Amino acid sequence: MDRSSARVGPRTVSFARVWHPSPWMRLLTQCVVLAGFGVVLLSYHGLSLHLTPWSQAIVNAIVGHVYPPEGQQSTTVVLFREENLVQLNDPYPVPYARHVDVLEALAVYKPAAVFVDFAFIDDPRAGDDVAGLSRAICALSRSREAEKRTVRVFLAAPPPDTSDLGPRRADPKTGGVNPKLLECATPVNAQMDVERGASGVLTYGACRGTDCQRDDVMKSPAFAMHHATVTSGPRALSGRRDGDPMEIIWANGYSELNRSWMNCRKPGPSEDIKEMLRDNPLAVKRKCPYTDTISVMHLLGPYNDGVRKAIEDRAVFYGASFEMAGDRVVSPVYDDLPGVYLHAMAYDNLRSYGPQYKRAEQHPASRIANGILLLFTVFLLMVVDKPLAPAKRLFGEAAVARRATWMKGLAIGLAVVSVIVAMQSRTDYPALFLLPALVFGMATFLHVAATHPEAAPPPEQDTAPAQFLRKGLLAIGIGAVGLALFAAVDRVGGAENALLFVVLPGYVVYKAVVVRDWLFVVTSVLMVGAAVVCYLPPINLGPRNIVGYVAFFEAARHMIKWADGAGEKYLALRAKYRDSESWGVAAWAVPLADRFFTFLVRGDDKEMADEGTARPVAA
Amino acid sequence: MKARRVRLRPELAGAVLLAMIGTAWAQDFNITGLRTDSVTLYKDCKLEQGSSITKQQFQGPWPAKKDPTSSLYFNVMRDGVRYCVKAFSVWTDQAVKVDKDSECGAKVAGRPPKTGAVRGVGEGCQ
Repeated sequence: MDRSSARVGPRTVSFARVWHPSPWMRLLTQCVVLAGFGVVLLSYHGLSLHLTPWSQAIVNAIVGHVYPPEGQQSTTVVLFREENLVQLNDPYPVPYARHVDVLEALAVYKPAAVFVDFAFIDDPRAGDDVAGLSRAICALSRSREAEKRTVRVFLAAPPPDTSDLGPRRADPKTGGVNPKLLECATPVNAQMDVERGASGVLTYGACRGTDCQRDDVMKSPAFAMHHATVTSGPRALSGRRDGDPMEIIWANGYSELNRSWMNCRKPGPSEDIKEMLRDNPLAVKRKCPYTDTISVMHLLGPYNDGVRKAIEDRAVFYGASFEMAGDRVVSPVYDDLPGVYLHAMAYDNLRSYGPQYKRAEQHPASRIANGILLLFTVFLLMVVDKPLAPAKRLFGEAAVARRATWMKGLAIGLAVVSVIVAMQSRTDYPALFLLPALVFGMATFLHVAATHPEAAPPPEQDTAPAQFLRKGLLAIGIGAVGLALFAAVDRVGGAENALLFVVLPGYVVYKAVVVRDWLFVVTSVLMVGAAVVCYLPPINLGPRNIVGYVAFFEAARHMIKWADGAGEKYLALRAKYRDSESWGVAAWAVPLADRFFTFLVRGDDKEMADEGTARPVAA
Repeated sequence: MKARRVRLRPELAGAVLLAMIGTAWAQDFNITGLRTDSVTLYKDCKLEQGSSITKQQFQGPWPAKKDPTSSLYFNVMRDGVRYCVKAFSVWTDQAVKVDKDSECGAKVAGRPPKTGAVRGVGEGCQ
């Protein structure tokens, strides 16, 4: 208990003055509380889970337009479908003899490397010829000897043995794969990372273990295939960080090969809207995979030039799509796919980006980026609406900002130049050029927000009736136009493009024109800018939860408004009722409440000299 | 009117039969070489009756035609005996097209119904 609240009288204690923290203390406390609120909301609470799909949907749409085609041109999935078992009159599991056929056929078409996504970890059944399969693997491996090339073959190994499954499963060299098959093949770790909510699998480990650059470590299929097919040049992985876990960018596009034989038909716009509203924006997914695919029936049929184009000099991922086998991967872009597509997509990322592949969320740089974004949002919250005097001084009236106008001009000029240089120079590290623009942009925006209160939406009570009607009509108009445009874009480019090109700009227009909240608009733009800078080399992080940060900004803004109102109400009541009896609480509770509510108050008009501890006066 | 009796003459029947076989074996194309180091010829298309032929042993061309029951094999007639050979493993003198792509309209992506069982579990546990 505070000394100041010591009882003087027997029953009632009157507190003449309200305790006020110093403005700096208020600013710091509010910053810390908001940052903590942000961390909880964006990391642990369900908000992240609900908003990530929206961010992911926007990212998907952007990726559809910027993802390089290089990976698609060098990756192929050979799929053994459930229907193929019937067509080939094969039982399940697939007999070794059929795998031999597939490997022999692959050898005919001369692939660059092959990953077999079947785990040969059990003792073969009667009739399965292990030696025959081993010979087929070796024959495939040597199929390009005339060109002095080796076709590396990789076999899927199960996750590490955590229980006692016998000596073979525990052997780190074979990873549980039948050693007789490893004469000409290498085992790779086919473990899949966990799904993240509606977004599905977003990360991909480079190896089993931590030090993935070591030669003796068991790599993941995509990384192993990449090391086998790209040994030199700018896309080769040789750097210290080139074994970091990957944030998979699920390319959002079409494969002409797949469209030529798969059923890729999607439902219409009304179905898409219904699905998005009922579930989440990721509920509407593409029906055909991005990776070029042929089935084993295509492969085993007569020699075909289309099959040759799909296999020759490409990384081939041979996997299966069987019912009730559990090997499915959930992605943010496509309907559930056979698990082999996860490895193919990860390889596609490596071929497309090389060492600039996107690093997973658990990378330290990712946490730093998230921290900077959160800090910027918190600072912004401190200067908007009713800024505290120190915040105004810090961001609005700092000596440099106030006195040196030429410096502001220089900063803006540098920001513009850095953007132009990044766009024109085709540099390998565009983020380095864009970072100054982003930092200047954020600092300038903080300054503008602190010095121009008109950037915030006008108070509701100032709205005239005529304005109210006009705004209502505008809002309805924007909604109607948005809906029509959504249907049109959805039909042509899919739901994610409709979200990117219609819903997002529509909401920004609504905020700017109807609500007149320029702070929101600029905050959103800066957040998107920050996400882009984080994504580009050399930072190379995966997509940020942009919608999460903007939503946090909006939610926290409403929260601090509400808290400010509560604090002001308390102070008004406190000025009127000074004794503890009026408050119906024990004497010690009043100073405690003073300390709590005065921290909620915002605005420099409430900034008073620190009056010290509330002084009790005997009633 | 007196009915006319037709006598079935054995030599005529044999000729018709041979003509039918000939028609059935009207070749579509020739196999001109082997793509793999060796291929297996399955006598009467029985997979358990296979014999290997290496590239060096190949003396073609072999008259061949598509297997009517499977797009994965070609039928080859050698010394009056029908064989099957894997379609991908041989060169042909013309591009051989599959009559109908059995994979057309296939669905690869999609959410299969969730089940509470794993394939194969329970077999052999009677």
